[in-house]
Order: sequence, then structure tokens, then C-alpha cells
Amino acid sequence: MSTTHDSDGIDAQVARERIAATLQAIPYTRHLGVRLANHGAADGVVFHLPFDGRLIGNVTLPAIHGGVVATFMEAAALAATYALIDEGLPPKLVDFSIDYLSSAGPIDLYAQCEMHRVGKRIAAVGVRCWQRNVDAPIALGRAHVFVAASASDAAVMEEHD
Amino acid sequence: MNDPQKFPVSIEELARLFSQHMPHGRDVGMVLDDLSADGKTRMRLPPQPLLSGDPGGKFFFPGTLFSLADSACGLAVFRALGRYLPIATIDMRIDHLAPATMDGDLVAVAECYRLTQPIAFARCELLCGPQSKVAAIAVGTFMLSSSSRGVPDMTRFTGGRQR
Repeated sequence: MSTTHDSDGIDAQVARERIAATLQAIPYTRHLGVRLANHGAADGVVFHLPFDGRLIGNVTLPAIHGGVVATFMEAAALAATYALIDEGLPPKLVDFSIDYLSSAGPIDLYAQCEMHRVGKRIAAVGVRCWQRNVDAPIALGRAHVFVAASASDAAVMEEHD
Repeated sequence: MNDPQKFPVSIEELARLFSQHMPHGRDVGMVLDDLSADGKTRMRLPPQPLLSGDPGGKFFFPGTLFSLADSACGLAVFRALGRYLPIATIDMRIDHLAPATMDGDLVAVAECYRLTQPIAFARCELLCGPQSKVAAIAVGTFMLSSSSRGVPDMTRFTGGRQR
């Protein structure tokens, strides 16, 4: 498999197109409405989840469901990782961990990824999520994403097909 | 707060109302089962194409497991408390042991295994398929509210469409 793990090796426009294609190809991210923000070209790709009433988890506050925030951040980590590799693999998440810094109000969510390390088999990705103020994140996440399954990994994953 | 005059709804009924009227849960189709004999909280998510993570529709998207785990753990804490108290998720981690197949309901089995003031610890297994294979394990911590705001206004929950 020929892969490019160096983000500098990929044209920013190509990366945006690949990310947009990934988000469109996943039925659930399409359902939620995860998209790319129009801005953010200067310092990397910014993900955008427009607010919708059906994303609410807490009616009394009100606040967006913590699972929606997590899903949005997972989708960002997966799409950002898959933009770096050539082959259209189905997104596979090994683990995801999130710290909620404050509740998510009934307004749009934004997220940006930091590729801590993209190895041959897995990538370690950091994700920050904010609403009004980019400097005041509402949640921080950390994901491990499968980049390329080895023969033995494939056997393990196929078991459940 | 446990005064029946002030607290006309049982914690079971409140948990049911919360799960039934939570917009995100309704949108994806989460179902809360009755408190089981082993004291664990079970929630289900029936498969439907929009919840999948692959164009072929074979697997649940990882985020759907997270949402179900977060909801189930929250309600497990709620049941452990035995009364209404606002709670907030501090952190949660999920490990995906295997892809979650869409050949049956996704089932979350959650328990609050330690309750302190002001932190509650909860964990959850996510099972999939006819063999109830473990697809993922989630662990989370929850902050219990210091302010006793009392029972929420139920009219805010009853406006929505019943599922």
C-alpha cells in the first residue's frame, strides 16, 4: 500500500476534498451534519457542526449531548487521519478519550485536530472542540486511529464481519 | 427532596422520562430498559442505516456507541443516587474491541460502581449482534451538582413526540 504520512506532502486543497468526501461517505456524520468550516485554511482544517435542536442532550440547561460532542470530535480525528493516506479505508477507531471542560451550549461546534504521530499502523490524534471562543475549548479529545491494518490485524477485525 | 409531596415522580419514572424525551436519544432511537435484577442499567439502540459508519451499512459509527454509553452511564449514576440531582460528565474513555455489527440492537450495560461526594464513577459494556459480543468498553466520571435545584419542570420534557 502506498501511503503518504507527511501532511506537508499533501496539497491543502486535496486534503480538504478528501476530508469532505470522507464526511459525506459516512452515513452518521452526514446525518449529524458534520462539515468543513469555510475558514481555517491558514492554520489547518477546521471542522464545523451547525447547531440543531435534535443534538440536545440536556433540555433544562440546554446543552448539546456529550455523545454528540464526542462523535463530532471522533469524526474529525478519523477524517483528518484518512486525508493523509492514499487508500479509501473504512474508518477504524481503536480508542477515544474526552475531557469535558464545560457544557456545550445550543450553538455551533468547531473542532481542529493535531496529528501527534502518524505511524505505519496507528495514528495518535489530539482534537480540541470549541464554540464561541477558539481559545476557550469546551472539550479536549485524544484518539488512536488505525492507519493500516497488518495481516494479523485484518484477521482480528474480519472475525466480526 | 425525597418528600413524596415535593417528589411525586419515582426515580425510575424520571429516568424513563429523561430517556424518552431527550432530543438526541429520540433522534437516533435510544431505548431505556427497566432496571434489571443485577442492578445494571441497560439501554438499546436498534440499527438503522443512518447510524452506520461505512457506506455498506454493516457497522455502527463509533460515535453512536459513545452516545449510548454516555447516556447509559449517566442514568446508572442517576439510579445509584436514587433522587434527582443534576450531573455532568467530566471525562469518558471508550475502547473499541471489535467493530460493532448492525445485525441486532446495540446494547449498553452500565453500572455506577462507586458513588462519592461529589464524584460518581461509572462503566459500561457495549454488546452487539445475536451473540452479544463485546464491541466496546467505556469508563467515565461524573460530577454531582452542588446546588440542589430540585426536580426539573416536567412540562419541558413532555412536549416532544413519544417514541
